[in-house]
Amino acid sequence: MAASAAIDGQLQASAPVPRVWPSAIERVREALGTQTSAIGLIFLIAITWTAFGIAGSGFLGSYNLYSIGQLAARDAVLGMAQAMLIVVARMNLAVGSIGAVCTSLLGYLLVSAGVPVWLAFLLVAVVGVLAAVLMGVAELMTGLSSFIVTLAFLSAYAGGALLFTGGRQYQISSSIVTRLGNGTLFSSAICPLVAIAIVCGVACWLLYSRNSLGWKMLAVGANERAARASGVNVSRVVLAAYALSGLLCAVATVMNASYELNVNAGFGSDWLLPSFIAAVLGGVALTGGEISVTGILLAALFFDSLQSGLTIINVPSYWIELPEGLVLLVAVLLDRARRARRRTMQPRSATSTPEPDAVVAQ
Amino acid sequence: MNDQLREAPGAKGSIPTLVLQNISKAFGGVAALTDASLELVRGEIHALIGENGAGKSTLINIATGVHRPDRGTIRIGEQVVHFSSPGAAAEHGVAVVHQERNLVRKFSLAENLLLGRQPVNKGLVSYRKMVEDAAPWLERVGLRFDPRTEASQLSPGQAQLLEIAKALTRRCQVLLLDEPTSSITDAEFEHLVGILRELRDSGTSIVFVSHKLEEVYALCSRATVLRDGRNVLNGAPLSEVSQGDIVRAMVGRHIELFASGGATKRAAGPAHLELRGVSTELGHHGVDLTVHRGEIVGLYGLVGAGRTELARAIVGLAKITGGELRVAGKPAKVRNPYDALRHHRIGYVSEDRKDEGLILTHSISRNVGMTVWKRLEAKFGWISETRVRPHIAPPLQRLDVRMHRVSQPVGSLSGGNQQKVSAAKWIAAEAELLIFDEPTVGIDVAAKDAMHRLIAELADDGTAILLISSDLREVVQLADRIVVMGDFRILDELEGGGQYAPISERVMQAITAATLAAQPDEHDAIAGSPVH
Repeated sequence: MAASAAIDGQLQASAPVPRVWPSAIERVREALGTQTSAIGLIFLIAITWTAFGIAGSGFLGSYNLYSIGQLAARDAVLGMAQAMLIVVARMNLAVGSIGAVCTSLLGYLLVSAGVPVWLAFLLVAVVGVLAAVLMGVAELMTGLSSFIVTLAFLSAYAGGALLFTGGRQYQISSSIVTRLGNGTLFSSAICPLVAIAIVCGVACWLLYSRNSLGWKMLAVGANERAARASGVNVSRVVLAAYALSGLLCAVATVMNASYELNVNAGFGSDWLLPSFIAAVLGGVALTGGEISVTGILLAALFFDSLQSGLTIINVPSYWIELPEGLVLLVAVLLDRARRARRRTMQPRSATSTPEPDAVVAQ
Repeated sequence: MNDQLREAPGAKGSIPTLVLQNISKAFGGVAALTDASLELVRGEIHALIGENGAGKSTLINIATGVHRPDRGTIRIGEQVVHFSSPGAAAEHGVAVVHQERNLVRKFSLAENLLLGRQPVNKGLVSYRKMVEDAAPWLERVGLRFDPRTEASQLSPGQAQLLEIAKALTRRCQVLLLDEPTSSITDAEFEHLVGILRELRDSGTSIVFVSHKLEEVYALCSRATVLRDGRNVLNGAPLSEVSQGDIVRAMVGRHIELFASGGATKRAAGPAHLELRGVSTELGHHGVDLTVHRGEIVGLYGLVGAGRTELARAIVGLAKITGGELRVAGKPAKVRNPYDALRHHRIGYVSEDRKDEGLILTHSISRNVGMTVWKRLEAKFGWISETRVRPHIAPPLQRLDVRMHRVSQPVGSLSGGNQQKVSAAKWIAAEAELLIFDEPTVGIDVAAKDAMHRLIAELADDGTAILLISSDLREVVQLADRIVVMGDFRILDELEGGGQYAPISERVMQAITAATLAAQPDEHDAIAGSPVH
C-alpha cells in the first residue's frame, strides 16, 4: 500500500540518547547560567563605582566604602528576610515593624535591664521569629493574603513598639555591639557587618540548594496546589518561611543598632523599600518559586552605592528617594522581562497552548 | 495526490478550500514545522493527527493567523493569502474552536455567541435583538436553551457546541476543531458527529484534531499525520490506511498496543482501601467502595458525577464528614495529602496536570523527587540531588520519559511526558494505593499505551489502584472491577474484563436510570437521547 510505504520511508533511527544526568561540572555551569541577574548587577556596580569615582570626590575612599558596606550588609539581610516570603509567593510588609519591635527590645535589654549581650541577642531573635510566626498563623487561619495580614501587623507592631518604649531613646554602649558595627575587618574599608551578611547569604544558599525545607519552600512558591497534592505539608513550610523571615529581621535589627547605637522604636520605618529592592533586583521572582542569594547581596551593594554616590555629588536628600523608587520599578520590569524571555525559550510548551489572541478573531 | 483527491468521499468535484503548502516555522531556533502541508477540499472532514509536540497546534495557529509561517504558502481556493492576524483569517472564513473553552462563564449564551459584534441600536446594545439573532444559531447546533441562559450552565460538551455555533456565526467555510472530544461524553460525541456531518454536507470543510482514532475513523474521510513537524501522511484516504499504520506514522515505530483486562485475571489481595458509608463536604452520601491490593478498580461516570471529588476526599484535599475510611484494615484519618503519603502511602495522580499535578517551571528531578525528600533527608533536612537520584532514576526510566536533562523544566516536555513525570513521582514514593484521575486525557497514543502498561504492572506488583476515567473503553480494558458513579453516589458495580458492548450497555443503563429518577427534565436540554 502506498501509504504504508510512505510511513516506512519516514521511519528513522531514533536519535542517540543524550546524557540525562548532568555531571558535577555541568551542574555548576547550569547554576551559573541561571545567574544572569547577578552578572548584570556586577556590571551595574562596576559602572556606578567608575562613574561616581570620577564624578564625586572621596567615593572610592576607604571611609565611604566602609559606610556603603555597613548599609549594604544590613540591606542584604533585609532583602533575604523579604525573599524568604517572596519565595513562597507571599510578602512581608512588616519587616520594618518587626525591626521596630526587636530594636525596642534590644535597647531595653541592653540599656534598661542590663542583660548580657549574648542573651539579649538570643531573646531578640526569639521575639523576631515569634512576631513573624504569629503573622503566619494569622494568614493560615484567616486564609487572607499575606499582603493584607502583614499590612495589618505592620501598624500593630509599630504601635506596640512605641507603646512599649514610650518613645524612649536607648544609648547602647556595649563594646561587642559597638565593635560589630563600627570596627574594621581585614582592612579599614570593610565593616564586620559585611561578614555577617555573607554568613547569612551562605546559610540561605545552603537552605535553598541543600536543604529539603528550602526545596519545599521553592515548590510551594512555584505552585502551592501541586506541592500540597504531592504531600508537602504546606502550612508547616509557610510557617517556617515566616519564622526565617522574622529571624533575619532580628539579625538586621542587631546590625542596624550596632552602627546607629542610639536607638528608638522608630527604627525600621524605612526598611520596606530596600528589602524589596534587594530581593527583586537581585532576581527573586515576585511570583515565587525562585531565588538568587548572590543576586540579593549584589543588589544591596548596588543600591547603597547608588545612594551614597548621589549624596556625594550633592544631590539634595529629598531627591534621593526618587531614584530609589525608580530602581524598584526597573527591578520589577526586569523581573517581568526575564520571565517573558524564558517563556519564548521553551517553544514546545509555547506552541502547544493557544495564545489568548487566537480567540479574538473578529 | 490526485488519486487521493478523487477518492475522497464528500469532495464535491474536489474544490480546494484552505491549502497550506510546505509550511516551515521555527521558534527560537527550534523547528516546529518543516515543509508541513495540509490540503483541504470543500465539504470534507479531515483528520489532523500527531503526537503532542508534533506541530499540530503550530499548524493550526498558522492557518488561523496567530503565527506567520517562516516559509510556505497559504491559499484559499486559488488565491494566495497572508493572514496578518486572527482577524484576517476569520475574514477569509477560517474559524477555530480551541481545546480550552473560551467562553465568558458569567455571560449569557447570546452574549457569548455574538461577543464583540452585538447588534447596536443608537449606540446601545440591543439586548432583545441579540437574543433574537442568537436563537437560530443555537437551534442549528441543537442547543435547546433560552439564549439568555448563563454560559456556566452548559456541560463541557454543550460548551463545545456553543463554540461551534460561534464559529458558524462568522460564516466560516473552514472550521478547525482542536481536540473537540477530549472532555465530552459518548452521547455528546454522537450529537457532535451529527452536527459536523450536516456542516460538511452543506459545504464546510472541517479539520478534526483528535487522539482518539476510533473517532477519527468514524468521522473523517482523509487524514494528515504530522511527526516532528513534518508530514508523514498528507491527506491519505482513511479507507486505505489501517489504524495500525496511523499509529506507526505518528510514533515513528511499530508499537504493539497494550491489551489486557479479562485475559490475565489478577488474584486480588486483602482489602486495602475501604469506604463505609462515607459522606463528604462536597456532597457524597453513603459511599461504599473497596479496593484490594493488586486490584484495579475503575471508577466510571459522567463529568460531574463526583469521582474526582471522591478522590480528593480520600487523599485529604476535602473533608470526610461521615462514615468510615479504612486503610490496610485500620480506621484512617487523612487530614491532607501529607498524611495520605506519609502515614498511609496513598498517592493521587491529579487530572489537573498543569495546575495540580506538576510544577511546570521546576525541573523534572524536583518534580519527581518532591514525594521522597522527606524520606531521604538527613538530620536537619540536609539533602542533595545526588542523594535523590537513585530514587527518581528508576521510575523515570521505567516510564521512558523523553528528556534532555533531568534539570530541564517540566513545562518544556510534551503532554505525554508531563503525564509520565506526574505518575513517576508516585512510583518513586512507593505508594501502596494509587489513584489515577483521568490519566490519559490529552496525551498521545504512545504515552497512553505506556500509562496503561504502567497501571497494569503496578497492580500486578500488588499496588491497589483506583482508576478514574471518562473513557469507558479504557476502564473496561484495565479494570478488574468497575464501579459506576453518578450524582455523588455509587450506582452500580460490575466485574471488569468482559466484552465492551454488554458492559457499556449496563453502565449506561445504570447512569440513565439514576439521572431519570433524579432530574427527569434536565437532560432533555441537549437534542437526542443521552444513551446510544
